[in-house]
Parts: sequence; structure tokens; C-alpha cells
Amino acid sequence: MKDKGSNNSNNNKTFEKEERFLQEFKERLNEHSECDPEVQALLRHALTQYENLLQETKLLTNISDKLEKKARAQRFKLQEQRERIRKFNRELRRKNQELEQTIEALTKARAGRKATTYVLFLALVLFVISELIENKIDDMLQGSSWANTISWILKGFIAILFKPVESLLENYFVKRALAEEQKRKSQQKQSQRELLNEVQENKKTKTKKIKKL
Amino acid sequence: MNALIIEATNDTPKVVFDPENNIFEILGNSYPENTTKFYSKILEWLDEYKNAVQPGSDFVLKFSLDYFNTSSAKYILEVLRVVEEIRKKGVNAVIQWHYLPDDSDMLESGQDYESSVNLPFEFIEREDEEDDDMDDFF
Repeated sequence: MKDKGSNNSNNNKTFEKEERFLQEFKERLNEHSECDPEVQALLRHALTQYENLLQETKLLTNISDKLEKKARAQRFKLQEQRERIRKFNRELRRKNQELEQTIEALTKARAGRKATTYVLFLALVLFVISELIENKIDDMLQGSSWANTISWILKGFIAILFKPVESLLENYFVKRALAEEQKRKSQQKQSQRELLNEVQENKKTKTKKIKKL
Repeated sequence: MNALIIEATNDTPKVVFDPENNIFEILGNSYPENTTKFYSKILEWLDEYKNAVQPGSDFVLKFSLDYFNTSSAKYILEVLRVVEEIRKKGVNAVIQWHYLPDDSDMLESGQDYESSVNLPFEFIEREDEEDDDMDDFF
């Protein structure tokens, strides 16, 4: 086996004891060259086997160390990516919340404008009705000072009613808009679920076909 | 001689030893539950091939691995030893070691093998098929 050189410097230190043993054994075997040739051959064979095993161990340790380092780096990278996804999700949730708040404010503003339009129209209708009623009262009371007072009370009453009616209408429109939004969302979820089921069904069919093949 | 084809799983590589089309490759990850059982099929096939192959023929074994465990590393060495014997029979055996551009560890592992066996190695930088970086996503 060829030696790798610098790449194995760390490995050489790890297996220093074994290398020393190998060297010492080689030297001692050479010193006792006068012993039984059969034993000598057996020992040389065992020594070669040991040397090969040591080289193989060094190689495998070297490769394993590198791949362990790679696996560690991948794990670290994965952790980093997981952290980035977590941050990204947090940001997404925050933005989503902001968006929902904006949509709600927009819905409220739109409902408010609609309620104001309705109230203005109602005020116009009530003004016409109140004028009709006033005329009726004037005719009934024949120029009494009460006629004027009743007319003012009626107009005041209508004016006081404006704000609560507007609030009631606004609440009604907001509730209706939110219910519609909810309905739209659940419909969207339902269609997503259906799509997912369809994809899973297709996947199952494909797997069955592959198994049959 | 029959081809040996083993499909890849999450922890075993794809193996294609097809002498008819002259394709010999081991691709993917290798950390099998039972490494001995997995590689013994490959080694048995290679032994059979060694006996059947004609001198002068070409044999290019492609390794394109992303990760392998220690016991797989030992068996890869065994595979290379058998290829060494095939080469000794007069076959033009070459090892192609494919690695990703940023995977210097895999390149160095291949170089370690090169220094341990008597076989010509070709180191080939392969293209990154899938972008495992999520930068584009963000």
C-alpha cells in the first residue's frame, strides 16, 4: 500500500503505538533470523497481515473522520436553515396578522361609509315625513304656539336618532362583511382540502400501478 | 452474464452492473442496516464477473456517492480490491470517482482510496442536480 503522506499525519499520530509495535517486531524478527524457518515464515506472514490491517484501519479512520465532518457540517447547515424557516414563519405570521387587521379596518371603514349614506338618505326621508307631519299638526292646532314646539321636538328627536341608527347600521354591515369573509375563507379551505385529497388519490393510484408493474 | 441492478433506497445506493451495456455504477448514499448482506451481493457478482471477463475489455466503475458509513467504506475498499484483481487479468479497469463541486471531503476520500489500491482513478466533478441550498427560497 502507498502512503498518503500529509493527509495521514493526524492518523499517524493516532496509530503511533501500533506503528512502533510493528517497527519493533520487524527489527526483532530480523535479529532472530536464525530461528526455525517455518516459524520465521509464519511470523513474517502474520506481520504482513498486521501491517495491511493497520494500513486499512488508518485508511478507514481517515475516510470516516472526513465523512463525519461532512455530516456534522450538513447538520449545522440544516439547523441554520431550520432557524431561518422558523424566523420566516414568525415574520409571515406577523405580516398576516397585520394584513388581517388592515382588512378588518378597511371593512369597517367601508361599512361606516355605507351606513352614513343610508342614514343621509333616511334623514332626507324623515325630513320630508316630518314636514308632512308638521303641516298636519299645524292644521290640527290652528296656529297654536304648541305647534312650533312639537315641530322642534320632532326635529330634535330625528336628529338625536341619527347617531344610534348610523352605529346600528354600521355594526350590521360590518357583521355581514365579516361573515362573508369567513364564508369565503372556509370555501377556500374546502377547495384546498379537495385538491389535496385529489393529489393523494392520484399518488395512491400511481403507487398501485407501479406495484402492479 | 446477468446484470446486477439494485434500486436505491434512503440508505442504500443504486447499483447497476450491466456488462451487456458496459455500465458499472454505484450511486447515492450508503449506510445500509446490514452492510455485509448488501455488499456481499456486489462482491459475489464481481467475483463471477472476474472469472468471466475477457482480457483487453474495458471496465469503468463509476462511484457517485454523497455519503457512506464506516462499514460501507470498508466494503468499498473490498470492491476496489476485486477490481484490482480484474485489472490484473488484463482488463482496462478504471475507477471514476464523481463528487459535488463543494464536497472536498468526498474528493479526498476518493484520493485516499486511490492511494490504497493499484488502480487508475478519474476524479469527476458532477453537476449539482438539486439545489439543496434554500437561499432561492428566501
